[in-house]
Amino acid sequence: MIETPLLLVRKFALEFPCELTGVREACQRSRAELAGAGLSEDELGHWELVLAEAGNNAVYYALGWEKHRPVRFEFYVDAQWVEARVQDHGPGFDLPDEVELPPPDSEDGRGLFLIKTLTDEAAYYRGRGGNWLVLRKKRQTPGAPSAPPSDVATVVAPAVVTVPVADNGWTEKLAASESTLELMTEELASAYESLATIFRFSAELADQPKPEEFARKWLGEVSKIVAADWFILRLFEEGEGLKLVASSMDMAGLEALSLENAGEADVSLEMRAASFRMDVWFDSAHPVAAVDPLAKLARQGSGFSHPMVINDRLVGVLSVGRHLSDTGFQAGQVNLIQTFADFLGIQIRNTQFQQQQLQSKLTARELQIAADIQRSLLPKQLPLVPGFQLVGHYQSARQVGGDFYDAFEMKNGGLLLAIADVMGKGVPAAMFAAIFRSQLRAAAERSTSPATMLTWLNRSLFADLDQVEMFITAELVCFHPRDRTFLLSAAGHPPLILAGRDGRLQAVENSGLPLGVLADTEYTERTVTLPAGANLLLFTDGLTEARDPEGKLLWLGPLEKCLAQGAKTGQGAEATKAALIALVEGHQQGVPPGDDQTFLLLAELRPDARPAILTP
Amino acid sequence: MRTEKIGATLLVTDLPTLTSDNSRAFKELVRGSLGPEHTLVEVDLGAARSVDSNGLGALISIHKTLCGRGGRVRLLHPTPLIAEMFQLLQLDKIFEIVPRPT
Repeated sequence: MIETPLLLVRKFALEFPCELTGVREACQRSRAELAGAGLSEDELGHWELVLAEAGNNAVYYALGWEKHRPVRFEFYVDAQWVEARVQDHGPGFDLPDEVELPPPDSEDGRGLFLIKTLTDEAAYYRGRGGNWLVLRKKRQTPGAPSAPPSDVATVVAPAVVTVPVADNGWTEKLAASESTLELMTEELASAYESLATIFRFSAELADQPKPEEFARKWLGEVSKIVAADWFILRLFEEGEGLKLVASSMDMAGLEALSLENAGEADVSLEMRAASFRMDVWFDSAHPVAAVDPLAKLARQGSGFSHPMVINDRLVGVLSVGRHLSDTGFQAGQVNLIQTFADFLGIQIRNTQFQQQQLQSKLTARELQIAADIQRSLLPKQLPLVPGFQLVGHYQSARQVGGDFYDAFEMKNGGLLLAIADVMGKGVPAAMFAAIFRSQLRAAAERSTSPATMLTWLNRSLFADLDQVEMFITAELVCFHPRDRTFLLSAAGHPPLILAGRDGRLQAVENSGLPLGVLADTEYTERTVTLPAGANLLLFTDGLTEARDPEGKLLWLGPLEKCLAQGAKTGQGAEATKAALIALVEGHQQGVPPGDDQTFLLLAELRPDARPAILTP
Repeated sequence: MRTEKIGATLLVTDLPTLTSDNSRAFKELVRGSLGPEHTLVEVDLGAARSVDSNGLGALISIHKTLCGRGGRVRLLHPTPLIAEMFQLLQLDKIFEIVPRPT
């Protein structure tokens, strides 16, 4: 920021039309005036170049309706310094402390570098009546004031207006300081207004959790501050495009704009702003197309569409306008609208992020509930079977599923082994597993036939399962240790595996439709006699579908081999269970299971082994 | 502003300035005058009092066109101030600059 007040020896101003030929003429006139102040040829050359770059920028970036206003150069020269001020009517920019050179083959981007390099101090002030670039450069050799230039009357562009200073009196010195202060005050007032508005918005936002409602209310307030006649806010939603969320009037018929449709960028101001990530202006000289969705509001007026981009992500587009095109927004008003839109974009992104966080917390809580239900379903203690060992295993997936197993003594003295897999995950699957468990116990009170039990369970659960389009696969085994036989019935479940002491394997299948598919399904059963030293494995498909890091499935073969090995050695159910778990985990190599992994294992003990009560 | 064709060279002369107000016309003139035989464009800046960043952009654009056909741009006799600007912007590395005779 320029702080040192100047002791003036010369002051003049030039105004020229907002076009490139005007810049050329103004630079030449400025050079001539500065020559009169005693600047060297080198200094004059540098100033001419700096002014050309600043003037070109003022012309290039003038807002649509401001192009008819002249660009103004002001000069303040004392014995030590030259200060030049260039006024523009563009949207303004942030002057960086350091400007880097573009790549050598770039055709633009050198103007600001030249301005910064060829001057000693540079500052940029945004203001409501226009923006000012203020440049200072120390004189090479201190100069003495020369005769003041003659007064030049205000004439129509492209000629210039010159305002000479004829004396070194305190009045002029004070005027120069005041002029600098005015610029700074203007900038501060504009910034203060933006900040004050945003502070008020922030306080209000705490009580307004929905950014759409907040936006609707406060865009109305901002419109009053900047004297806008209308506004439209669209927010970007993935897969849906730019959706209308707030407007100054009823725009219910306004359809969403799809970012996928490149053709819309040709006719829609908002789409151009969104696609090119830059403000797009309109006025009588650059009217909106008749087919533009904004045409209803903006056909006769002036205004602009501003993209709200946070961290390189498009949040939405705010369009603001006036009905009359000859009363466009001033730079300070544009600044306020842009600042507020960007602030609003940040709030909306933050709110969306918080909602995502909340959703993931809710999901985690739901999974915790499902896991708790799941654990409560597993039997605390498995029944003791003379001459046999019975063990169970349940490993939940990251997203809890609906696997469960059970084993209990039936009223005929037999042992019921049950395993089931409810389709789906989370709380709904766990809830159906809980219902199935209680219904299974009720079924066992009615019958000791697994087929009858499944038929009854299907009829009992069908309506509820059908309503939510879910199903359950299940396998029931009624085991009679005394005569070494079991009855098997299954509903869409993988076959059980039976291994004898001789290592022979048998996949025993007797499956009907899963529960919940057809209301009148009648299930059948078959009787199987256990071979000597038998190992019997009931399992869910999470076991065979365990994946290694490359996604390869485990399949049945390795499980059968492991089971056969257990039967041959007669090592007992506990040791075979450990071997099965090690097999699955070894295959997965740390990859978390994609589905629940559950099994029930019944192993005949060698005659010399003692029975024991085992827990799952 | 005019051009002269001398064998494989296209010479551009009579440039009072090369700035925002005439850089487009300069570019169009050179592009319009370039024949397939031209591999060197010489721009005589001897009469040019000022060159701004738009003028530089036009020269770089011509340079890229010439590079595409294995040619180059040579700048003749710029004022010391303009030569200094090319140096400041490190453009003396991509343009051959023939100094003003002393």
